[in-house]
Amino acid sequence: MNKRDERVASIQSGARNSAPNKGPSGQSLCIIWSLLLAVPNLTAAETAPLPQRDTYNVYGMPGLIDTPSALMAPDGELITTYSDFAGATRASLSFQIAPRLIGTFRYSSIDQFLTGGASTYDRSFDLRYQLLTEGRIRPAVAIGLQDFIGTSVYSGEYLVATKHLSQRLAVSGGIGWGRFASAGGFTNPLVSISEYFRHRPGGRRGSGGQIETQKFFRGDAALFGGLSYAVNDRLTLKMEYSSDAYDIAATTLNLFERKSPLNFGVDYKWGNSIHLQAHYLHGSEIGFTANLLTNPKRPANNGGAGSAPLPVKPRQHGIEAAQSWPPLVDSSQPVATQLTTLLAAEGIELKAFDINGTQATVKIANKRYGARSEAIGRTMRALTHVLPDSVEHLTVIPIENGIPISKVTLSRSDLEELEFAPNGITASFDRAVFDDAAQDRLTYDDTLSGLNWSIKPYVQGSYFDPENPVRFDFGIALAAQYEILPGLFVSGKVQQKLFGNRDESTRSDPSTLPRVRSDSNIYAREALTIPNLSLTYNFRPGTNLYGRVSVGYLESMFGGVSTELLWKPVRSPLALGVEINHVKQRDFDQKFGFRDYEVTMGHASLYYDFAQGYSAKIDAGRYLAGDWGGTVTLSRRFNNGWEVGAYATLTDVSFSDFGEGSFDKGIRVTVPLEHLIGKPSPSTRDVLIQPILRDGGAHLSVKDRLHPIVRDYHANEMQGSWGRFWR
Amino acid sequence: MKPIISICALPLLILLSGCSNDAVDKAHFQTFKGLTTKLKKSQPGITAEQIKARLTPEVRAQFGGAPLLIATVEEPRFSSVLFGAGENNGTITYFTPDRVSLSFRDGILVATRGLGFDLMNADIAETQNALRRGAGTAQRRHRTLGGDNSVEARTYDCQISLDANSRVIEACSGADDTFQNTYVVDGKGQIVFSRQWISKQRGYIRIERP
Repeated sequence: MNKRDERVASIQSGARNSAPNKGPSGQSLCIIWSLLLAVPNLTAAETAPLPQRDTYNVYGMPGLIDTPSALMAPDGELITTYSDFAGATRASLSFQIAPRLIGTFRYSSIDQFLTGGASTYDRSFDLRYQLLTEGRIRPAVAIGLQDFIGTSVYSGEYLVATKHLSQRLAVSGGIGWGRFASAGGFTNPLVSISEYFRHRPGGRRGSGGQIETQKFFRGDAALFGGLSYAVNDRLTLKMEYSSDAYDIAATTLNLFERKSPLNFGVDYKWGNSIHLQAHYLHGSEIGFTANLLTNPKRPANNGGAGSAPLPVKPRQHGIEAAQSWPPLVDSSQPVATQLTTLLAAEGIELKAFDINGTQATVKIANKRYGARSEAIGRTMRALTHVLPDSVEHLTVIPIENGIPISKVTLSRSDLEELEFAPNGITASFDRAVFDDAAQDRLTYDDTLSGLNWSIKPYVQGSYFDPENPVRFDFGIALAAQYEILPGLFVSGKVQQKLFGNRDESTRSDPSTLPRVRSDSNIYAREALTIPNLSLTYNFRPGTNLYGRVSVGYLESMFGGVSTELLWKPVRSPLALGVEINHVKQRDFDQKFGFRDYEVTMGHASLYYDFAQGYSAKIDAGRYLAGDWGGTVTLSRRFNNGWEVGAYATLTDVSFSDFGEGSFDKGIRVTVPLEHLIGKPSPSTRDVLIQPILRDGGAHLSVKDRLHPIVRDYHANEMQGSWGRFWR
Repeated sequence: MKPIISICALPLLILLSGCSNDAVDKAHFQTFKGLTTKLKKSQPGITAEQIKARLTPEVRAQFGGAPLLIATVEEPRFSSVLFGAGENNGTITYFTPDRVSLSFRDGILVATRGLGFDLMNADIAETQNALRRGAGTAQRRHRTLGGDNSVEARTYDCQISLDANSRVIEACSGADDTFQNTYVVDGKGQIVFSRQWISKQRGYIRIERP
């Protein structure tokens, strides 16, 4: 076995916020783990009357102990698994991508794996697709790939069937290849199709990280299977026959003795979101597994409260009735003043206001609502309280980063009619008119957002360095932003590390490329830094067009000029963008100086929203190290702002020049704070899990990219959360 | 301890708050404070009886002569006064001073806001008719929002009848839930007391006129 060439990698993350300049920009993996921990505590428990049907194996997939089942988790489920057994520790994050497709990213360590007794650390990816759903007689059938990218410590393929014989008892049986055929193997039945399947090639391709298709379903096969029995809705007993020999752990490393293929387990479901499992494995070992479950589709904490909206004030009020209602705002003041007061109470800033005949138009900055439709709906209801009866058409133009993003118009009569109408949610969306807002100038325009500042603690992490897979810095960050002219912002951040150990990393990986990211540990040694200090101009060059120019210290490692142009019609699922940057590498001290390396780079991007929240993004262009190539990102976005995506970047850097991992890839999870705290909030937390941070395929990390800001106020995104228009 | 486990042992950094001039951050801080107090033992709140005792004519005058209600959510139990804040085409919306709203049509609850697990709207036209007759069957349709903001509509078949104490009972059942609303109607056909179901998670609310 080759000595594994482990590399430092990183997880980057940041906070994005619709209001400018918020959030510590250097959070980390810990956040997602904390989130997953936090959700069970905060979410109201709903007890299911049926016995527990979901139980997960040590790899974080639905299954028994070592072995998989054909079952799926509930759609959208995010499962974090921590498992420890005989010197093997596995941390997995699984996501039920679609009702019949589940995927896992795993980071594991095996004690004494390397010569000299050091532990190895390994990253792996799994996928399982359910070919057949379970019927009254028909079992569920699934096909799976385990550890199919990467270094292949756990690699194996399987075909498995699961049938519930009763509500409580489920039986699974399957055939496996690779790791699943390391004990009790027999000649591959696929040999009857082709001799190709007789032998499984050893080793791995190049420097790892590639899809190991040349191994799939080859070599010996073996059978595995087992039972799970739900004693009640909390307790499940499991038993399996495992065809995993644990060759390395048991035979080579002597970490344990494999006396038996039989494993036994008990799974206790604690609350609504935590599974605690204990296993007796292979006749000699005790193991433990914990699963933390969350799901973007679960109710928000508290069911989502927050103060009630103003009711619609209809015009056909009888005079007597009107007198019995207390006035909500001082009607002797100018209309714009009344409106400012009403909207301020809703967390909405009135930026501009205009009445022209029967048409009223307002520009607003939404400071409170993650569901953009709620900001629009509340603004419109507030308008009904202050406008003269003659005004019939209400138009709201949301402003983000100083530019108008869209224009939503609804007639006042429709608001009056649909407020409590049973079909009011769909009907109000159908009657709303979405337009481009590039050209609108209002009478009282151009209110600036002034100075925003914050002082906050921050956490920054470095991950996957085998010397210490998890390192953290903790410190305090001062951020400020000032709007000089509409759309023109000066913003910056100063960060002081208080304590941490990211500076302890002494790795220096050889790289044939310019060292655009692989010196991140050197950058981490500085305590007082300026992560960014820049001038940004956001503008609308024309209909459906959005522009951005940023100049200055754009991110902690690069400074220069970044320009972006986005084309995105308000009702279109398609968007096109171009970004061109000329940047120079910053000094390690992250103050004002630069190093020698500079590059002109950038991408053309295509964004497309498929139905039901699935979206794709394709970037093609030049990356920080001067390499040319493309990135494909596939994501699933839920209507409440949760998003889970994965990306891969291939460039003209050869896999061997790239080094460990062969090419850049990662997983991104975006979590809306609103869903966790149960009150309106525009903030999200963004966690990027990047197993291997190398120099090839590296993006510039400039803030305020246009597409995520723009799409939120466009028809496609707002339709999914339009129920919130009336909240 | 294996280093890898330290990932899992981290605090809830997401709720880290600092100071700022920004409304969003302040709201988070408030929410965080709210959560921490909520996690402590909930203090016994004011009861409907105590509210009634405090509603002197002077206090009523402070609400600008608006009609008042007293509402009590059963679980977790809390009571509040509500004042009429507006009417739209026969639906009257009442607010608590801390901005929870309840909307009624002929005394029948059709919407709540700010409670969490809110009732977005309810089609209760058949229930209205059956209540006027004092008996009969009715179908109602409730809309709520799911955790991912999707609109969830549920239909309930209801039996309306009088019980031994001349209260109107509306017994409803749907695919997922059953519930039973109670109305006390005075001689003029006005509902003076009711106990009505909001949603599965929020349960029942009692409404009375002080």
